[in-house]
Amino acid sequence: MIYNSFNFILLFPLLFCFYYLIPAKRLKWRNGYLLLVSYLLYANWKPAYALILLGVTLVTYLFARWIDDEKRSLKIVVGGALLTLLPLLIFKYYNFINDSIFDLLSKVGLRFRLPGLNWAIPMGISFFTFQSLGYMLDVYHQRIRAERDFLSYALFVSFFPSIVAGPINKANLVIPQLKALRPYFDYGKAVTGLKMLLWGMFMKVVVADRVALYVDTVFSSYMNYTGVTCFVASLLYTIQIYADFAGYSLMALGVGKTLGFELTENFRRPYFSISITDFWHRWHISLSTWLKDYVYIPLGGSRCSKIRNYWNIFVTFLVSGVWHGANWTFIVWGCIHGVLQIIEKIFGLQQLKSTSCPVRIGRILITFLLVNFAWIFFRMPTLDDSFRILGRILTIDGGFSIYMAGMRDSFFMVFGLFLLFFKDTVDEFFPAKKTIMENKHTALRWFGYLFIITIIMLTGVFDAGQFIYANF
Amino acid sequence: MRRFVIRILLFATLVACFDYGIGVSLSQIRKMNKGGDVQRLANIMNNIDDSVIIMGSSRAVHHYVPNIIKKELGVSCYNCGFEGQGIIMHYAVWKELTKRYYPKILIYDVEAMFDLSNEFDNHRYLSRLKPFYKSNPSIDSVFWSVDYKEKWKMLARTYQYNSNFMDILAGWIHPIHIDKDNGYIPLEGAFNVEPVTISTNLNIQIDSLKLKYFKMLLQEASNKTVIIFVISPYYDCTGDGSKYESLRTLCQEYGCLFIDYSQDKDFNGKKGLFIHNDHLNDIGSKLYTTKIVKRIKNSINE
Repeated sequence: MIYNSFNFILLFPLLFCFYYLIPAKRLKWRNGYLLLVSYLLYANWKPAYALILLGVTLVTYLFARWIDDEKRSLKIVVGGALLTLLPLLIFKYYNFINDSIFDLLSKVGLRFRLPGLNWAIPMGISFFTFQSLGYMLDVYHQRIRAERDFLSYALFVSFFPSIVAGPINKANLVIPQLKALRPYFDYGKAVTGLKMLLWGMFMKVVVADRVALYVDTVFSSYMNYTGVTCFVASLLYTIQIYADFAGYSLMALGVGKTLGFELTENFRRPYFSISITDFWHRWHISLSTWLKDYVYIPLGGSRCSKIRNYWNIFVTFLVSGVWHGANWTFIVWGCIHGVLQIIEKIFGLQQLKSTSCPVRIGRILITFLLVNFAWIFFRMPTLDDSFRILGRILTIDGGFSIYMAGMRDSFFMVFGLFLLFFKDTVDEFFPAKKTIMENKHTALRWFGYLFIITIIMLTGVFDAGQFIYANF
Repeated sequence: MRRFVIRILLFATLVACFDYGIGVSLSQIRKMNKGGDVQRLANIMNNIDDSVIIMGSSRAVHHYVPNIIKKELGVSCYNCGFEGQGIIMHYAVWKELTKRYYPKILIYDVEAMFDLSNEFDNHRYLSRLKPFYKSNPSIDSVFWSVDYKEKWKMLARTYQYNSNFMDILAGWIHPIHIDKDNGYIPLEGAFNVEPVTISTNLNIQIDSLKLKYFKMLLQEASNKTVIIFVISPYYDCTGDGSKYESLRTLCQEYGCLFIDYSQDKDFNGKKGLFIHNDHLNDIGSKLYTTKIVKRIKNSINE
């Protein structure tokens, strides 16, 4: 479900109304309705791919029950994990593996390539695969019992607010909510959900999509722009990916909340991090939690020798890079984060505590610049492009002139960035203070909502932008 | 739940009133504009009556000098080009303009990305037209042909001014007359980018809606207006021209001229005449306009 689309604005009120027409005590009817809606929305994109979703759901459901019955059989969990990962491997990584092997063999004079696949990647496959795999592994590690009710489990995997681009929810957070008798309607949650939806929409269409116009212009022909312009574009891309992904996540959480559900928080003002370690406690929290629980800790975590610990960190972030995309650029991006965290661990930097404001600001800036540098690899289509852009930035190629977007676009960008920065700063450093949308006076709150809606309508970019993370 | 529904309805009413108020205010301010892009478009649709008009993307805006055309052909000329725009927008403008008069000559500078390719979302070609929805009703159907949902979206009056309200406010507070050269906007400076070779081989998917609008333009106007499609020069260009084959076929069917200067040796490779790979500078534009107008003059005389 694309939240910044007109279809969503038309459809969601209807979905909401029909959901609340069902009496609260008819739990199965409500869950059945949500399951039907989730599958219909998924199938609306590509009907055949709903079968992939169903297949992954069935495999993990059945294997989890089998693991539960057989009491932690390693062979069963490995078999189940491989079957669960199979669609992801085929749809997302087959061509990459095929091309990479071909490139490697070509270097020794062998030209062998399997036929390529020209299939679209099922939307959200990385997310729902990890979510269901996580559930199965939780059953294996006896953190939870296998879910016997297929309806509840299928809804957990396919829940429409979060299926396309997360968050990757834990079964022990969501399934109990699905099975518990919920209040008919939670006014507080619904209002909070709508506020999250509104602010998430602002982040996406006012900030992310506006900034993307500049970033795409520069990065699509970076050789025509100075190194300083490329650096400015990289900074704006850092903002774009945050506003895009965090905005979407906020909307997903908001939709879930209006229906009475609490989903996993996914972002916590990551660009105020004071270290790379801190960054990964604030950025895509659901993924970093998943990687910690199912990759880092099973490898030994930090309960091993230092060298082994560094290796575990590296492998975890290598997996993160691979998860993000079938391209060497994502793998290098993941490795950069892994290496930076290892360096922090070696020098104990992530444990440094300082209440000094200049020191804190300095650490925030350095972390921001390091993250910004890594995002270049994430954004560019090839490693060659990434290194060329870095080369232009570091050698200040072409002089100090900066490409300026038109007055209008520049104004909209600055205005949107200012509002976003202001709100995040208040939330981070003055959490006790309330922004206008949390003011106790209704008139002021409503003025705040009206202001944001007007800004969205007047300055939002609506020309069919897609979420960056919906391609994962 | 009842409290929630009542508050939502109240708030929705407030939003609708606010939306209406902003929409009416911006509409009035737009009518008072004395400069800027929005005013320029309003002027083209509602006021100009020049015998020769030029349409197309930024390559139209920056490549055709109306004063030279006027001098050579002895009739008035206006450059109606707009950056990043193509036939979808220009057809809407044409519909409005021809409610008042039919120009003697239409020179349409074709740019495949905006006029033929389906690579970009066609909503982008509606953005400049939004402030004129309903006030210039003949363009409304163009909106619906791109997306039938525009009918519902455009009910929100604030949405009509999406991305344009700054231009409208600026055009009222501090009007800049950007069309003092009858719509032509010269580009000053030297070639300052990495050379890129543009190909005219068919490497795009043709957008059927755009082709449909070209056909409609030719059907409606080819016996009232001399329509000439032109590809102006690029800095470096190769290819067999197959990219434009579908439009060329239409031109043959309706007896219109199609002139291709994309690989003209008088311009290709001459850095002194270009500022970008696909934009002539003022010197190049003047040379090119002189050349094209001579060609048009000869064709008309024949």
